[in-house]
Amino acid sequence: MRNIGMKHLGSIFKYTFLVVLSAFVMIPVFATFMGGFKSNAGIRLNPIGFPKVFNMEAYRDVIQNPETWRYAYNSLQIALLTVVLVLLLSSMAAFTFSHMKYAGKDFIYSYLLLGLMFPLAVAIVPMFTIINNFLDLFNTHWAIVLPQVAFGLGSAILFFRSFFEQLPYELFEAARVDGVSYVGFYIRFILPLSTPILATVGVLTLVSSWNGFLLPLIMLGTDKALHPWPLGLMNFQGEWTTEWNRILAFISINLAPAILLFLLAQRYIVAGLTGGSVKG
Amino acid sequence: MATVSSQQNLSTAKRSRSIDGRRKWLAILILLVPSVVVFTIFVVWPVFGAGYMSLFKYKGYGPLIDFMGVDNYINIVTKRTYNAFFIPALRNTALLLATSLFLQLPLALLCALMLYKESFVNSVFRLILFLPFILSEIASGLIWVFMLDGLNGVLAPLFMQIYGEPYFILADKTWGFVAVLLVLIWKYFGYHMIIYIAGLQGVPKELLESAEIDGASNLQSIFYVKIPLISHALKLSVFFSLLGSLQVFDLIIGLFGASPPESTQTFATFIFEWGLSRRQQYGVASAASIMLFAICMIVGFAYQYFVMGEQSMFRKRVKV
Repeated sequence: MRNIGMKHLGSIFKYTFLVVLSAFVMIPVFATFMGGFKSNAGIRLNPIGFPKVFNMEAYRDVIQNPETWRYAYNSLQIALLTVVLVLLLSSMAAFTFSHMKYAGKDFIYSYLLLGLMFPLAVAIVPMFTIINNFLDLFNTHWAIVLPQVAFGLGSAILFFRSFFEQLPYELFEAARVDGVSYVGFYIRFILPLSTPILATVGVLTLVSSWNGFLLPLIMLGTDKALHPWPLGLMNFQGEWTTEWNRILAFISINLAPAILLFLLAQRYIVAGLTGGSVKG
Repeated sequence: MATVSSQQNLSTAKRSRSIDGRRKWLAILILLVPSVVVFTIFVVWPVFGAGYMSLFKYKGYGPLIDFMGVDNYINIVTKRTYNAFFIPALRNTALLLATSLFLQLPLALLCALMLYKESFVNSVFRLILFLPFILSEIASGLIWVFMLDGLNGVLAPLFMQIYGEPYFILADKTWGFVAVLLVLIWKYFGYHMIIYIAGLQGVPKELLESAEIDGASNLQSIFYVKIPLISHALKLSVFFSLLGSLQVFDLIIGLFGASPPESTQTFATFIFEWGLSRRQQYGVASAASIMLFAICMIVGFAYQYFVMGEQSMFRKRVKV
């Protein structure tokens, strides 16, 4: 009897704790979405709850503003280029690590993983000089894509290598006997068999590119036409400083695709974040 | 005759092997070179560049001629102009690290232990707690600027109760950074929770059941069975948390704008501020970059070698 009583008490405590914690996590997001439906006076009186009247003006302005869509378009362009290049380059390199024997393999593998060990901030000052003076890419999307690809390679190679090593090796031997070349095997067998890991690495790369701020901040000039969304958020906040309903509507429109992606691709995101810990 | 033909066989075999070898090297070139080139240009070259630049006084244009030796490194630590920023940046980075390790990870572990079993309610809670991870740091920062705003914010009434007047915590020299720590936990603890949950779901059920049958209490089964069995997940999340805390940048800019006050600088914002932003002292910023690089490499390799050991990412080999 006593035991059952304790169990009840335990689960009451547990769910109270989880509900409070969920409120801590969700209230800021909820208040942001609702804030876009309020007037500024309304926000001051009632910052958290549902608005008394749903005022569509702020959302309508943001949606009708061509700047919003230009930021979205730029973000999408940068993110898609980054994803395609990361998937292609890292899966090709990982294939040589998993299926081929050659001198210096371990060294090159460790070399490419070094990018995992330190943050972008370390490289950012000379990177600006390299992009600006040597490659003449300042104020182009390539100035963001290429460094993002370079810093994304390490973890992607790690994922692809351990996935490729789990594919049946007999397949490779059989194909080699039949005279299939290395590159042919990579294109015709490895890539089609790797859709789960391609999706996982792709989604993770997409999210980090979509959210990235430091590179666009440094590599793009003040011309807003090329700015992606995180820069757009800062621009918008700078323009409207205290018009919170507009700012919150703008943030909400920015959050919507991220949350949608999160709900749709949750499986791949979780698999990507935990891949190492499950297999290890 | 026999010898001739066998010699012929030998030479064709040799030739075909060398053709095969050449093809193999061609394949390696095609497959590997793009990664190595991109990586070298955009990761390795900049690090060497920072090392070189850190030895000069440099404004960002013209040739590097004003050689200073290691003076930039010494000045950052000893000269008032720089260390008034650098020391708080170091202290704040250490605070981020400590909060991440000693508050965030235990919270994440606690939630993982509560939520790892498969059920609808648990998966809803997991989804909610993990959600902020997907949001951009800038958007997160701005959301919290709103939350914490002294006049319009969600917490404004609370501050009003406590202080009797509008209180702007982000403008407060002492408490401003505490707000950063709060947002850090808000954004990332769900991520570590997910790593632990995956680990816990990998623990064989029989082990937990047999512990229960043997009369282990809940706490005993947590400390003696579950935690040791997810040690790999724990080590991994500590590694991510270490490196993550050393690179906090976007969140600070989101919360404080493009030139954050001294009291809220981190290592990464220091590099930005002194190099590319207001101060334009590339040598100083590069010296700070190299310090951060050295810290990351030492911490990272020591961790991979001593803590991860056989599971180190450099050693991980799945046998085929």
